[in-house]
Amino acid sequence: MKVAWLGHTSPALGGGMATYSREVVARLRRRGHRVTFFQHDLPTPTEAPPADADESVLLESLPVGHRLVLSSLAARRKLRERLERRDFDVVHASFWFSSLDFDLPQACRRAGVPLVVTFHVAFDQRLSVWSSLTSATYRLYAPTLAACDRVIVFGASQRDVLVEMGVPAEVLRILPNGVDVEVYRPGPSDWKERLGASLLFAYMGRVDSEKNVDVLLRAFLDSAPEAGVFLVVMGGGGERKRLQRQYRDPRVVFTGHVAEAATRIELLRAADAFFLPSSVEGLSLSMLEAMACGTATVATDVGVDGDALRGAGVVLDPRGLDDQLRLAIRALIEMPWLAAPLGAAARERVVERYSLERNVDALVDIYRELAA
Amino acid sequence: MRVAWLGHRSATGADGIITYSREITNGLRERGVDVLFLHHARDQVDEEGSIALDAFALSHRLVLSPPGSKRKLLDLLRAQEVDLVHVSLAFSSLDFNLPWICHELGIPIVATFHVPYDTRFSVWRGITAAVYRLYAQALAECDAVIIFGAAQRDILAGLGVPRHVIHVLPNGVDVGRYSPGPSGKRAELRAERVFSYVGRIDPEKNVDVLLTAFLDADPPATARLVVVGGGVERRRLERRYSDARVLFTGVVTDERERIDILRASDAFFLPSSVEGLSLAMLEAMACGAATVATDVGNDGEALRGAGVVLDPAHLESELRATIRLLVETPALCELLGRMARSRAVERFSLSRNLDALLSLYERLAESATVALQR
Repeated sequence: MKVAWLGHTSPALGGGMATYSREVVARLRRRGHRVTFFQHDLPTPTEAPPADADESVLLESLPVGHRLVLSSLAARRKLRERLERRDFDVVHASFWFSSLDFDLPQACRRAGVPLVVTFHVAFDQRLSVWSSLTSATYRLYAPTLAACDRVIVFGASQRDVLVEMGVPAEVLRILPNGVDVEVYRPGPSDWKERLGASLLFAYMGRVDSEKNVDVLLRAFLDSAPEAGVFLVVMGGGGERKRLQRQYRDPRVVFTGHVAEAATRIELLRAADAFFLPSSVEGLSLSMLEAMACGTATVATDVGVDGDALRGAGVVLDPRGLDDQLRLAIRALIEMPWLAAPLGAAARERVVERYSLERNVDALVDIYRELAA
Repeated sequence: MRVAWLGHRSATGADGIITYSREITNGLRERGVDVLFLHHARDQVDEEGSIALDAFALSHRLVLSPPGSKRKLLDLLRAQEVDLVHVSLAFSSLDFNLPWICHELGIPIVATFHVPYDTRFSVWRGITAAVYRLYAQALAECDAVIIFGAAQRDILAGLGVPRHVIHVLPNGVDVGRYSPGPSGKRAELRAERVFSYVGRIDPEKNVDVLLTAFLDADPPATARLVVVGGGVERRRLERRYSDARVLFTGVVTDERERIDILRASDAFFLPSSVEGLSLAMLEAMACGAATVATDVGNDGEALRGAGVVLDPAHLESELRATIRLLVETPALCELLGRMARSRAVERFSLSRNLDALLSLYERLAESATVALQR
């Protein structure tokens, strides 16, 4: 099958989205599908490798700023021309992609190619600043999504939000992110010895304000952990420098963005617990990766993270986050034996529901259904 | 050995302080100690080995001894030829005279001090600190002071009680009787998940906070919170929290039924603001219920590492989060329950603690004899 894939590889727009595009494309190709990767010419950190595709098409974008991509008229034309050459069986876009998003259904219809969209936009149903921001984004996207042939969402709560906004239920498919459970799996790691840690906690993801890394850091230090207890913050982002200055403590380690998957995996394997205290999420890939590595997982009940983790980890209510994080940290320090069974439960959950292979199987089924 | 036990007794009460006296005296008798139980419960028929003292009891926790009691007690102890006196404090307004009475008779005196305390800033802290100061002088005169946890030792030592007289010898539970096992309660309650509270329903127990947190966590219809016990707050709470998922049983005097409830419990909650070392908590732990308690008195120390210890300053939000987690993760309850059980067996076994108490008695009686012979 010939697939036009529209996605990002820059972690600046969300490491999870970049990983999603890269991993799914790689697996489609491994199964013999031909993938043309369309991406914007974003300033990409050197450590981010280019996507491995049969063909890469760069689309020009206008520099607007952080996490907002405005495509140029030239890019729009280039994409249209390529689609109208009719050498694709399906177009798959990972949203948000750029300002092109809103033209895509029409462009695909004109070219006679079915359009599948993965809607990654984080959400939270609770009343909050983020909630109103994300619900505005959802409302903005709803008419476009309604015009797609298939829209892939992460979970039932996300589907319900979109149905309420007028996206037909028959278009929506629940197909959660997946991780490669063979690569991300429990195993030996010497990071605790290297850090001199008796107990190791980890955060992995962008260090941006909605991720509440500051709340995590505060709760961690408030719990007054003894000297051997470490919190490793993996990831770069808008808040990193400020936090690194503010929370200068020998028990806190900022690694910056860890480009190499092998290192990330080693750190996750070494960690006794993984924390994801975000205010908004879709389905966090870093959470699934941590779970797959058998790390006890603590995350807020936002997006579909709560649904994914419930019963296999510690789900926190985003209201009163401070208190709950402190409690969770204290409990894990006082009862270090909790980490192993919670980690095993997390691993089991990911293998059962969030395996990438299974996810790609289901995706190919969707492609076939549309191409037929 | 003949021991005069001054303690609390009641036909109806299920209070920890009453249970303590009952369990210890029964255990000592089983070990061949001749126990004379002196108490204030006038409603109890005097049976062999127990004598009710004249007193004006405001409650079993607040007892005023009438004038002349001091002399009467002294005569009684002499006539009964006891080898040792053990008082479970607070006993009565005689408490402060007891060490001197015993010194006069040349009998060693052991005091168990289970006045609850909390080291955090709170209304309770002021009250308990005053009580500790009040008792410190009398405790310093005892031959041995028994407390339930190491945290108390520093407080008492700071108030002038010599460290060498202080012995950490916690309450214990009969870990054979209080043990995990089958229970018909779950079926009887038609519940899939059972959470429980056992204890007095008085303001300092924060049962209202537990009820609020439980209902806020919005547990499924098949979850139950069983509140066992009576107290000044019971009626008000029962009216206010009328919900199909909440059950008030009142006081359950039948021990077997209490054990049945604990065995059926996935989790046990003790959200008190003040505690000594809660026997109800130890019993729940021994029955293998996942245990959640505030870090007050010795409870935090007893549970830490084997259960969820809550910060009383953030009680409501921590309770809510814990309840939700335990509702969502039944496997966690099982695991925590196993850990609680092994902690109870390891540190709070009644028979082990009775053995330790008996050897303390023997040491004290021996040195008293040596002193008399000189």
